[in-house]
Amino acid sequence: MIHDLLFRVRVLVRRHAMEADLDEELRAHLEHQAEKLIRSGLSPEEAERRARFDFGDLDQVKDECRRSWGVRLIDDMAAEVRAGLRQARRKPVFATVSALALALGLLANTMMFDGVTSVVEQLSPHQQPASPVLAAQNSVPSPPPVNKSDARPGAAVRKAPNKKPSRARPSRRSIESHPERLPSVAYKNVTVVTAAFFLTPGAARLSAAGWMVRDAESNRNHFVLISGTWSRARHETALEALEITIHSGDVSYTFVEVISGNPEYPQQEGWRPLVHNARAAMSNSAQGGALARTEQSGQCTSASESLSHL
Amino acid sequence: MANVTIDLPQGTLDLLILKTLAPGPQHGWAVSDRIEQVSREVLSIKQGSLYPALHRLERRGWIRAQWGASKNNRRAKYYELTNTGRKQLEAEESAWRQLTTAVGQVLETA
Repeated sequence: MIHDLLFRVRVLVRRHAMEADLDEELRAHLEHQAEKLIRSGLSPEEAERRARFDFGDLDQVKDECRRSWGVRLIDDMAAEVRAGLRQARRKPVFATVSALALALGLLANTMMFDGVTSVVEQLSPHQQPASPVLAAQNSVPSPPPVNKSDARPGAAVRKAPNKKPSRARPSRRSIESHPERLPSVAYKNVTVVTAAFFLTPGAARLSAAGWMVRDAESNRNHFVLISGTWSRARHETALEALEITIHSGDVSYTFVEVISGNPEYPQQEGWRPLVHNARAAMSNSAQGGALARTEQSGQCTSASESLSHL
Repeated sequence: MANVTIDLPQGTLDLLILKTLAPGPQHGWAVSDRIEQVSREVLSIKQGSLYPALHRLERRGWIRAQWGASKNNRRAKYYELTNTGRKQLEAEESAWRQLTTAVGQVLETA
């Protein structure tokens, strides 16, 4: 497999040398064959003619050899592109009109499918879920609602239709002021598509993280943004707020979890960020965040665990 | 019978090339000539199909090529077996022997 790949790369990189080698190799073959025929009694001219005849169509053999190099598809594509460019140079107006027509066609198709999708989504039972999707690989029951008199971690949810995910850190007051409006949290299995970190320079721990997840039930992507978590404990309060925003289409759901300064809390409560290749992701960008691709759901590593190895 | 030339059955060219290269490096023409000699000119390799096969085997990593000088001091591209090629030769040889034995048994008893 590796040989195959290297060979193809070599052909692409050293194409002219390969062609020259092929020419010389076939020429040497014909000369050897002619010499053999001369030794058997033929004249040099007759031997050469016979050798060529026996060999067959030289160009066809070369073509077969090129085919065996395994770069035929790339050759054909390059030839098509070259031919297209030649045509475009010859008839620039026609080429421009064709390109514009194609672009308009693509645009019209996109708009049409966008319209169809929106209609289907309106008719779909998943269009507006009764409860928000929680982006966590979860096997624990839903967290208890916020209790003003209890310092234990709690959960609260607020729904913000037609609003982009907010990364503002919620105050404790905003968490506890409207508990009656908060629907219960639904836990679902999701597959993480991508994960990203947003580092705060100088911060000891992860400041924010985001995931693109696919909900298995609705088969839709959701963007999950966690902000203000694992930040250093504040002096004025023992409580820390964990804000998780799920952005699905035009609807955003923001969960506000109260944590008691324990960075392991999200993991204990079933919030298990799926973070793979965290080290590579971090090293790619020191401050701006990076993508870490994951391919499986289920087994996961918490962000805090990953970060501790950095 | 001696002058009858048989075209190679499909798929046997790779095996014959690998076997011919087993003793040592050979250039393309020598491979073709050697097969004809050993088979007493019963097997005929279409020369146009030899080189695509050699290049295909090289791509698979079963043989490697390098330029050298032939006996008559001509520049020629020599092919030799790689370790992978030797293993492949063993496997293909074994499969071929099983096949010919099975076909022979059918021909004798059916």
